[in-house]
Amino acid sequence: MRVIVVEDQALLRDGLVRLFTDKNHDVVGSLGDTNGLVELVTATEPDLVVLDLRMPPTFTDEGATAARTLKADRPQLGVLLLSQHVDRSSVVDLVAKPGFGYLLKDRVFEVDEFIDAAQRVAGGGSALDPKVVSALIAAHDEGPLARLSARERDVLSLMAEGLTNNGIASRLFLSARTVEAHVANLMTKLDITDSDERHRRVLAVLSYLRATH
Amino acid sequence: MSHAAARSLVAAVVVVVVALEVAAVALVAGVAPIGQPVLYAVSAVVQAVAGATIVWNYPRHRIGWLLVAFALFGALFADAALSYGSRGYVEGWPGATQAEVVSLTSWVVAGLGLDLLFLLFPDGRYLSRGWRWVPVVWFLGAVLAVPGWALNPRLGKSLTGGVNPLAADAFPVEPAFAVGTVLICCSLVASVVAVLVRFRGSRGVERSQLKWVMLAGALLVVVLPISAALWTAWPPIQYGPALALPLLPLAVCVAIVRQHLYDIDLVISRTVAYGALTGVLSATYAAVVLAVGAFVSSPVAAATGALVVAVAFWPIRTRIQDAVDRRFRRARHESRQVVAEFVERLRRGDAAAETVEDALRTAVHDEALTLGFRSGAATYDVRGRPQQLEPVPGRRITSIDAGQQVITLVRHRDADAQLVGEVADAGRLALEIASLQVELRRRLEELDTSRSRIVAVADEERRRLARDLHDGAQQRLVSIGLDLRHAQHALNGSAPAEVDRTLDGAVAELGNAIDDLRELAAGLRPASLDQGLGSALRELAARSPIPVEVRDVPDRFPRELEAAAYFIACEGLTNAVKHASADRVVLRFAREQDHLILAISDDGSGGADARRGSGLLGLIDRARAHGGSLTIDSAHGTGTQLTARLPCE
Repeated sequence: MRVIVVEDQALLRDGLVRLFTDKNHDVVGSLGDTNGLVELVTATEPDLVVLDLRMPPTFTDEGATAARTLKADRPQLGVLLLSQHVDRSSVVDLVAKPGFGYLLKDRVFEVDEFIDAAQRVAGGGSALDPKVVSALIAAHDEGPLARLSARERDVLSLMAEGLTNNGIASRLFLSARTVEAHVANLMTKLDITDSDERHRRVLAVLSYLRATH
Repeated sequence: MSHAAARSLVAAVVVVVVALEVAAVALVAGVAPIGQPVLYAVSAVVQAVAGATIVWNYPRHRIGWLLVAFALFGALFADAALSYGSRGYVEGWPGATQAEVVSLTSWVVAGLGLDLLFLLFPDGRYLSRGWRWVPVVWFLGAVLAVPGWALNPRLGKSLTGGVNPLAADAFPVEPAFAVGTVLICCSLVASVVAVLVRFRGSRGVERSQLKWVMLAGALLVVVLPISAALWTAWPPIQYGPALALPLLPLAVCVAIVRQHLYDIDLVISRTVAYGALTGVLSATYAAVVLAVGAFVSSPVAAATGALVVAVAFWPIRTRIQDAVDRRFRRARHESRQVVAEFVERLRRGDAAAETVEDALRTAVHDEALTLGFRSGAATYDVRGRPQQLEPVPGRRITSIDAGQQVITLVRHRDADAQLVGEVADAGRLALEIASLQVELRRRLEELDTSRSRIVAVADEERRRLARDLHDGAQQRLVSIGLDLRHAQHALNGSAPAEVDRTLDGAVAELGNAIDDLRELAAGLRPASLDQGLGSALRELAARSPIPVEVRDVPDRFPRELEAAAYFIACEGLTNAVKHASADRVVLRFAREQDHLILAISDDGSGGADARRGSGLLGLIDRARAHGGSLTIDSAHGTGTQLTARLPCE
């Protein structure tokens, strides 16, 4: 996997670069801010760009802005946003796009899961931090999501994180059949026509979240 | 004529008048007593100077020229001519007796000056065209009276020589003199009527000016007949007219040039009061001396009279002054009355001290009167708003002191200076109270401002701290974690399993530490607040241990206002969870005109009281710091509703 790391704090940038390198990925470039990012992407054709959300000059949502720019020209390019805390509104329009991820920075401590998520994003999948998902869902406690049971919400959260039915089943210590039943029920409650393709399901949910925001 | 030319001319005339009068006195010296010539000289010079002063200030003012012209006429034809006649008779100069005749006839013409003065004062114009006939009548009278008197054999008795050399039998002197005098008297009466008519229709400055002239005129009316009656019985009275006559030009001059500097009502009231006092005391003295003198020796009687007068002086003076004030200074009397009533209502609690400005305006009939209250280096109006109180044309500022300290400034009409001083004196209590209230209000405003500033600074500090935690400590911990993971990777299974476990544990601890810091930062100031009140509150609701419903969050507001609303919601929520054992909380927003309303209702035990515990007090402080308010509605058993109203303009 060819990776570009954009992070303003030098120590953290080096740590991220090492992390990918340790796992035998190819870091083709690293930057301290988003200046020159588009040129670098054009020159190196990476699979994934890892972006800090808050960077110079304003330290608000430079990463999200850069992600939007990159995804507009290269929908296939994986973009993984990292931030210190959940900033729901900066990313709410991005979460439904294929090949986008948003994780809290300390997820990097679970190196294997983090690399999995990064690869999923690079491959056009999604990876959302559980905290991001719960923030997104919490924002809709007045809408149809209020009709979901606690268990169905858990399942939806994991779906939103990008997990498969099997992944959800093992995370929740449930059988795959049970998970399938929950998925079917919540899809009905949310009036979303099911389809076989797993990302379509997630994207549908996320689109729904965005639409009702 | 230019201003400078007018000034030169009147200065020259004054010099001529002075020279003529000095000559008149000098001529008489040695041949007759000089007492009267000196007094008449002074009178003429005073009139000339008074007229010149008017011309000096207003070169086109007819009254000024009138005074100057008639002063010159009098100096030449009355005073100098008389002295020449007296001295010339002794020295045998030619035409001495003729000069005397001219002098003794000059009053017929000189009186026309008085006539015109009454008709033209104060603006130099007739009241209407009809009044032009009044001096014409005088002129016709003079045409008859001058020969009727100059050629009259009776005039001889007043001449030094005892015989009028111009006496003519051919001319019917007596009828001419009688008719002329009647015409002159009619004209004079008409001119006095003109003054009265003018006075009745006058207001403001013109009225004050007329009062000056009427005061001087009234004194003349008193002095001249008394002098005439006692002219031969008591010779010193002959100085009376000389002393009284300069009063008229002086009054005219003051009225035109310096009218606003003096309070004519006060002058009149004092004049009348002391005149009456003199009369009453003299009569008392005379009566006592006469009554007591019938029984004891005259020194004892005189001493008794003096004693009675001395004892009676103050009580009588006070009574007379009061009576005179009521009559002549009605304005002052009523003004004091208005203010005294206001202070009385203030004492009873029926009036607010803030309305003192209105009371003073009513008292002096001046809607534009302005009060200023000093506090620190600045001046405030009666409602505590800062204001600049500067003198403007026609208005000046009087300061009212309490002890050593200026408490109030009053800007009033120039003419009201005396009245305002007295009225303010009567209303001193009200002014002091109003001044204290202004001071208090200003202090409270300062307190509010500093409270807002403190809250704003504290909010900014929270914001900075939260950002520092995110961008500093947390990032550093993440990079340390990454280092540890890298070390673990580098060891690549070569280290004992125990080392691997230790490193795993350390990284897990770092994760916990980061979580803690994140919670801490969110408590200080949630980053989601940057995205608006809605996201911050929904995030808050998501973290809450009990269900929280957030309704109708409005659009974006200024950052400080959103922070205030957020922290009020936060504290209210904490309160509901901690103290009220609530099962459910509803946060509701509404916008009423220019206020953001935030209501926090729970279904808990109720009975919240701001006096117990600092949480609710802190909320009230926060709401007030933003110029808003917070009400607590919390009966036992019915839950609690906090309602914050925050201005959002």
